[in-house]
Amino acid sequence: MPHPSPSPSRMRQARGLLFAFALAALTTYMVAAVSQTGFVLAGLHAAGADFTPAVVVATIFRDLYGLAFKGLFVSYLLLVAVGLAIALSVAALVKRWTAARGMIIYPLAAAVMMGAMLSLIKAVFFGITLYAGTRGAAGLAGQMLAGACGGALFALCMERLR
Amino acid sequence: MIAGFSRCRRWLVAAILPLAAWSLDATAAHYQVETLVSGLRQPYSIAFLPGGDLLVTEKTGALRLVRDGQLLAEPVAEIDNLFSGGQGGLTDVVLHPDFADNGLVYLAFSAGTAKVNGTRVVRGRLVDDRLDGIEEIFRAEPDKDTGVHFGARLAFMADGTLLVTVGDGAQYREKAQDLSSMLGSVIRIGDDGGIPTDNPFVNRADAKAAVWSYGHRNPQGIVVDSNNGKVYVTEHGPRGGDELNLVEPGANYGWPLATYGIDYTGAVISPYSEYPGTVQPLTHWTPSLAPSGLALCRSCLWPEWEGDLFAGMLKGTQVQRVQLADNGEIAREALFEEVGERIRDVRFGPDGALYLVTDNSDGRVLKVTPAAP
Repeated sequence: MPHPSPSPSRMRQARGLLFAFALAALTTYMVAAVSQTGFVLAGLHAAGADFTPAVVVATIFRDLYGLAFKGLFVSYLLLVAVGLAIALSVAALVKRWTAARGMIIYPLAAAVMMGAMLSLIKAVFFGITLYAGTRGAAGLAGQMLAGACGGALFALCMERLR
Repeated sequence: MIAGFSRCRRWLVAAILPLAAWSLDATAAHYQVETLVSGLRQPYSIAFLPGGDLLVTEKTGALRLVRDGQLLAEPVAEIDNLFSGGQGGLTDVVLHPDFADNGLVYLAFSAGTAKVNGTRVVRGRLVDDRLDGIEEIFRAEPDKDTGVHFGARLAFMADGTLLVTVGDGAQYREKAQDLSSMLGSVIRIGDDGGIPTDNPFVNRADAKAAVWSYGHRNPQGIVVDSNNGKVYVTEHGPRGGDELNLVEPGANYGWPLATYGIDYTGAVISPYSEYPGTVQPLTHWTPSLAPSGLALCRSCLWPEWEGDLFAGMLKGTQVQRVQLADNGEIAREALFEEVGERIRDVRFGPDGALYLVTDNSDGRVLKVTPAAP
């Protein structure tokens, strides 16, 4: 017996969900990559290096590309996307059970995911923070803030979908 | 016309190829490789004793003795407080320049725990195949909490002072530019651990007096040219940017302000490969071959190798021969790729032969001599 085809409204919802997730993942990645670049350059500056605005901008673009496509172990963009898929799914379940507000639960879940993921990576690699721009509380906070931004965008999109 | 040019090029290649093959064959025919000793647990370095015996360090903490080609069962010494996690362990061994008179042996290693560790140097007197009176003469400051980038190589200079390489600890790479830290530097101390009064930063209140050069990442090869006293150091880059440096007192070798490598994550470490006030490497390996151990041929068994440097390569599973020309040009050649193992250390023996240490849980010391005619 043939399966009934999904209704147009369900298709629209699925497309909307996919768009919201992609937007959240890209936003998280871009904010995280820019934060990573910023902290690395700040560290170099403190160690004695100077940069023109053009060098800073060029480095941001190199990192946006490099972290996504030149990682030795795994793409940071892929890590962020997989992490967000898990975190936002869990957050959606928690939201359903607790009636928590989306604008709180999604950013929170994404921020916690970023912190947990980077801590796990550090534990695996002999105590080294693999992403140099995430060293220290401020660097880690930058990545968590990136997650929160992505989560907030996801929440906004989901509200519009409803 | 293009077809004619193409035909010409094919003829040219056909003519040159046998010459090139002959040249490579001639290089391979320069040597023969034999296993001197096997069954070592991650051997790291060797030192030649006057009577023909060989000291071998094992990363797991034992200093072993090889006599008449046999590895003695009883270790000469075992290191207390060793930290052998990650890249840590017992690394280098060198003899005092007056070893024949004083019997002093120097060892470099990483000590402490996963949370508090650092590079250390001890010395002891070799008596009846045991190292007696072991005392610590150097401790890198500050301690760190990462299990990588210890450096921990040793070389005596002609004036009897001892050079010690210290890595940046990876997590603390900017410390390589901080003279108040020893991380990422080459240290110069007296044979008793004292600070030589002619060290470059000895009069600076904001600097560690033991620092001799800085801006290094993870220097795991060092050699002093016995002819002219020049000091050469190889260091691991990140992804790309392994360096060979001619190290001079007080000089800044750039890490991490300038590098030819990028981070393992694909991120930029520095936008610069050169930076004012820092010294460029003599050569760099990009992509990385992971240099460990460095030797220099002086009156070795190959006259044509006189003055050349030989860098062991871990990832590259080879030795890189580096020819330094007077005009600054450099030529590099891969050797011993047929061994097929990670090369942890390279030394020329008093007999002029080349000795290789392989980095394995069942590691070997190999002896390389010229091929029989």
